[in-house]
Amino acid sequence: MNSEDALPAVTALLADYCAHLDADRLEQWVGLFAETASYRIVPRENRVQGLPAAILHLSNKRMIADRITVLRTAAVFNIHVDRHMVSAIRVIERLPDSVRYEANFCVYQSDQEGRTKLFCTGLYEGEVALGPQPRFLQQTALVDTFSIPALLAVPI
Amino acid sequence: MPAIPITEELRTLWPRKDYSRVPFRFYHDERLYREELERIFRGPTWSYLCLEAEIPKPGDFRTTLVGETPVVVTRKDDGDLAAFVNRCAHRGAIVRREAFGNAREHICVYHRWCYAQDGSLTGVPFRRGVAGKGGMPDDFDPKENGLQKLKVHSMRGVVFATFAAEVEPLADYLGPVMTAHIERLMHKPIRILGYQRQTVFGNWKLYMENVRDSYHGGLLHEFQNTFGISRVTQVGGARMDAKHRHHVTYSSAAEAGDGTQLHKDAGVANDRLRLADGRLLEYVPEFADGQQLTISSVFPNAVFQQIRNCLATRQLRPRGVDEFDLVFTIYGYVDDTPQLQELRLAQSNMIGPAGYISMEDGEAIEIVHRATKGEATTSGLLEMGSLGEIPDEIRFRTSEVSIRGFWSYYAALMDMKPDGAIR
Repeated sequence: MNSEDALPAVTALLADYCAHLDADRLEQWVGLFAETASYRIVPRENRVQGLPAAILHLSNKRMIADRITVLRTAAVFNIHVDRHMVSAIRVIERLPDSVRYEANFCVYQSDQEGRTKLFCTGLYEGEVALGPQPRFLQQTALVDTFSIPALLAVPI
Repeated sequence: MPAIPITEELRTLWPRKDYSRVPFRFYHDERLYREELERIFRGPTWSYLCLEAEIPKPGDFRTTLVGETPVVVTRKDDGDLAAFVNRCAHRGAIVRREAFGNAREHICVYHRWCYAQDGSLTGVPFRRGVAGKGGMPDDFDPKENGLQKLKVHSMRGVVFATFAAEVEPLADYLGPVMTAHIERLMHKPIRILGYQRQTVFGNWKLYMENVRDSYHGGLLHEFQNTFGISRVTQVGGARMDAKHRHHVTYSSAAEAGDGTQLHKDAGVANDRLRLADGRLLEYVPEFADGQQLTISSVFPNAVFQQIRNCLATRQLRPRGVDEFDLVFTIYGYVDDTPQLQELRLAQSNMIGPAGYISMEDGEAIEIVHRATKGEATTSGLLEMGSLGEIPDEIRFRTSEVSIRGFWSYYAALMDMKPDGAIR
């Protein structure tokens, strides 16, 4: 499989990723990550200054699963619906069993009164393990909207 | 007839003399907010600007805000710190547009007026005109037309500034309690690890109340009591300076009773679950006093936090009466091992806009702000802990006494004390 062949696999994985998040199927979203996967939300200002801190820094699948456990059982956050938009998906590097990709994203949030706001925009940077069931090895949301409006509970 | 100042009008609304009731109007009145910018943020207070570690080299600068006033803080070539209003003396344009950088001079893009590292005016293009025509008047004095300078002082690498000509020295302003606390946090050289920011849709005072409120900690933040990070039942308390303008709240791991049962009796679920990756809850001892959680605030715009090994400052920037920004600056120490730095990064999942034990604050503030808008006569209630005279030290966590302390100093500074005020 060359880089072009990998694009449909990455695109389909990202479609599942968005669909699970937007439908509040957060446990199934966790299932899209490999056991060693990391998930980070990185403010653009930290990237520009070469600083390591993130908004969320989940360095293995157990931490990713913990995020969802806490949201389900021990967190209070705004009642809302997310809607992800992803475009310009590109495979940027072919590795032996995986590819690195980038894609633009934005997330809109709607409240219980049916009012919608742009919540954030940014760039997904990730690595996807190829195979019969592609899985994320790494997923970073590099956020341009790094002054988070109110709070960020559900992963983006 | 001159209008009655808003502070004089609102002063009569305090239902009680000991600040145990706060009129909701105080969070929403646009005119009061304008007075706060003048009397508090541009008044005789020291505002937190940044950490020296963010501007280590000569010429390093960062742009920030004191109240709503844009400010540049920089390290001059001689190593000293300087801060000035980031607004050209000529036409009022922002001089330094970048968030951070390094510069030997600061030039306004509009008409290229040039300022030195301390904000002094050093150049005006075509000051003498062209071929004997035009130019500035002969009596134009660059010395009189520099950028407005702030007085800057660093306490152990924590940089504060003030607009006030007449103000007590920083060490006196902070007082022994807060000075000791900053010395504890900054006991060795630090390294900046990064930033988190959030925009909260509520009045800025709701946040300064929130950080002083040790009653809500284990109730709103279910994560805290569920995982034993901080419970109202833990041994802890708060200390304030004599004027009650700053505060330090702390807790240790020991419980004042059977915390699990006490929470259960209070209807608060806890100890229900374990994290699959417990690293988040580890603590590598690094302070002699054994305190694993300390949250402190310096009036009017700073918070310092130690949650286990996660260290950060928080700067509050009001953006109108209905909104404020928080900037979290996460740091560790220069001599951290890679493992300790990774632990700090993992534990930073607990703070900031997505933090396990702070994301709820954004929601709590927003729902208070939303529900109290337009209230003319009703008040919030602050009775937990004690009534009457405000003590400097509170030795328990089910307390809102520090919030009354905040209001007592606020009222003094705003000239809004109720008649016969008890403080």
